[in-house]
Amino acid sequence: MASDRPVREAENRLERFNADREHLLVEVERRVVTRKIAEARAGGDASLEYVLNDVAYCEIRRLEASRKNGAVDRWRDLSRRLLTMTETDKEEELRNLVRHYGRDVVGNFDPRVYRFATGVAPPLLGFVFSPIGSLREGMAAVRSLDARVHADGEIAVARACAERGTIVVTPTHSSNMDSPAIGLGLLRAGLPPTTYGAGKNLFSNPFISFFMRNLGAYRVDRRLKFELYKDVLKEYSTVLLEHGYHSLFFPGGTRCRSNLVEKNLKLGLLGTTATAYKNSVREGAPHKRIYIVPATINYRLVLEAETLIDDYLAETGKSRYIINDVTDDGESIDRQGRAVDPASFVRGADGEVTDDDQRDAEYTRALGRRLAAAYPRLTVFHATHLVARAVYDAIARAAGRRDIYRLIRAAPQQLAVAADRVVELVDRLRARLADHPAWGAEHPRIAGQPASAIVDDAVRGLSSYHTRPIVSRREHALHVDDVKLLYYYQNRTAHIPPEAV
Amino acid sequence: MSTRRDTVGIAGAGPFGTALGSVLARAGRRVVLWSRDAAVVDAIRSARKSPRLPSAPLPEPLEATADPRLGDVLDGSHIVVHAIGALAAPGNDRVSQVMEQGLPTLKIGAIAGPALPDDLAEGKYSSIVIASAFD
Repeated sequence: MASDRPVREAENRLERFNADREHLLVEVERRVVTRKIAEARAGGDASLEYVLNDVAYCEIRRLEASRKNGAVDRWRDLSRRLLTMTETDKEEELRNLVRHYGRDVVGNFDPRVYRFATGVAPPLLGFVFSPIGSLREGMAAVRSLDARVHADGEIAVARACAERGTIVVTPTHSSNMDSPAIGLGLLRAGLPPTTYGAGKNLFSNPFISFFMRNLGAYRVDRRLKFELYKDVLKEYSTVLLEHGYHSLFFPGGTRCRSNLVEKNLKLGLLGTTATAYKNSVREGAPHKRIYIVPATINYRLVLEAETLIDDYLAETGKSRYIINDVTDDGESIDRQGRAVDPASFVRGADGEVTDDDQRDAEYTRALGRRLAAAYPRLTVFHATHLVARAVYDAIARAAGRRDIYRLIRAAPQQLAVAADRVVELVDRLRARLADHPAWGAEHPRIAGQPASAIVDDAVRGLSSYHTRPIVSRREHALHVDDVKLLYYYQNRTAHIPPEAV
Repeated sequence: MSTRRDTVGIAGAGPFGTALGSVLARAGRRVVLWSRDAAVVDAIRSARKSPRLPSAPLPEPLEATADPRLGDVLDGSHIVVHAIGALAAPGNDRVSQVMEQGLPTLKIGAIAGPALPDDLAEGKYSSIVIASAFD
């Protein structure tokens, strides 16, 4: 009988990934093919003809839309042959497709590239996160940029969980820089690197592709809509977790366009955590626990803010006008502090492990609710967020409304706020934040600074990072030059209720 | 011998909980009826009658307890169905939400009328509604 001993594998487990890769792929293929054949034999819409036709139909539509007429012939041929294929032929075709998509998804990990990337990436990333203005400060600025990436929180607990089981880091998602940023954050926190799914479009750049391919990222092709591909992807993630590979999922799915702390999570592959743990318990290894580590990524300035907020306002505009906590050492407890056996959650009343997709989907939704509830407390505010909020509050109060669509149309004279007033509002906002830890915390870099210095710091960033200034200082007033981007940055604080008048 | 699968715990020995316990016990299931009122528990144990629903027969497979450590005997595999139609202060949370906070299981559901406790206890045809996010 398996003991409930800790796993104790704190080392970089990805270093053994390449040796494991073929075994992982074989396991994914075996499971998906076995399941599909079993479902087909049960009858109904799960027949292999239906599964294969779904692949062919989706691929023909996709390739015709992208005018790739050469590639479409292979799927038209499959669609025609389906009518006369024997069950054995269909099983073989299914096996080939699963193998093909498995190899398309699978990642790679090169320790040499990891060592190189962890040496070079920090200053490069810091450079990207800095305002254009700091370019003028020369190499001294570049050397200090590394220090701009900061990891904070209950890191000791996360480390204990990484030693005891498998961690799944679940950060908020607001930028294409999130993957390298969180990778650097994990390094800073003394946590092992994780594998993660990255959109295949990100692999089109040879430079980025080289690093992503060799640092454990696996490819997710969002153009492939058919169920078989999703099954392969989910099974790959499940098998990785079962084999103890720390993972990273963005529960929000895509980048958050509004910069709001995410509330509605798509969850995506997060559901594979429940399946992987259930499989481990069934295999007699309930000690292979999976720990979900919520995290937020908070940028002082966001590289793609201009396009993201345009997307968000265009989308909302349309509609407008139209599982357990853990102790410090990773022991599972309920909300009353009682020790719980996580394996019991995947067992039925008779004590046996049960397959129950609906139950697991509910667990995943509950997990999503817990993550969304945890994010505000984990939010870290930069000077840009606090000042954007203070300025937005001031212009909204002067205009008598907080509605972004009305403020966009406000006259320029309505978009100026006395600098002293902004300092006062920032002071009050900081005082409210200090009284409400559940709303988040100030970044340590600004924690000891006077409000006037925070305003100066934010105005420097907000006036020089993007192609046009968001806020600029003219004499004794701050003028808002881009209300949409001001709204974007203040959105990080949107879970903080407006101050009572 | 009854197994864990055969056992149903009912939290609350009011008229509805007692009626459900009566029906289940007569069907041969082992029932543990929990009450916060020690007098109700004593009456069930000694007289096989509940002062909250005297008309309900309470055969042997039904036991009563006032043990306050309800959460200590549950784990993640249990399904908890409550029959409390109220909102809890201070945030007007549903009882299911309150139970989710306090119990070490996520599988929680609610049961409600239109059945009447007396009808259930007397074995009359009745209909009830059960709702849960879990099948």
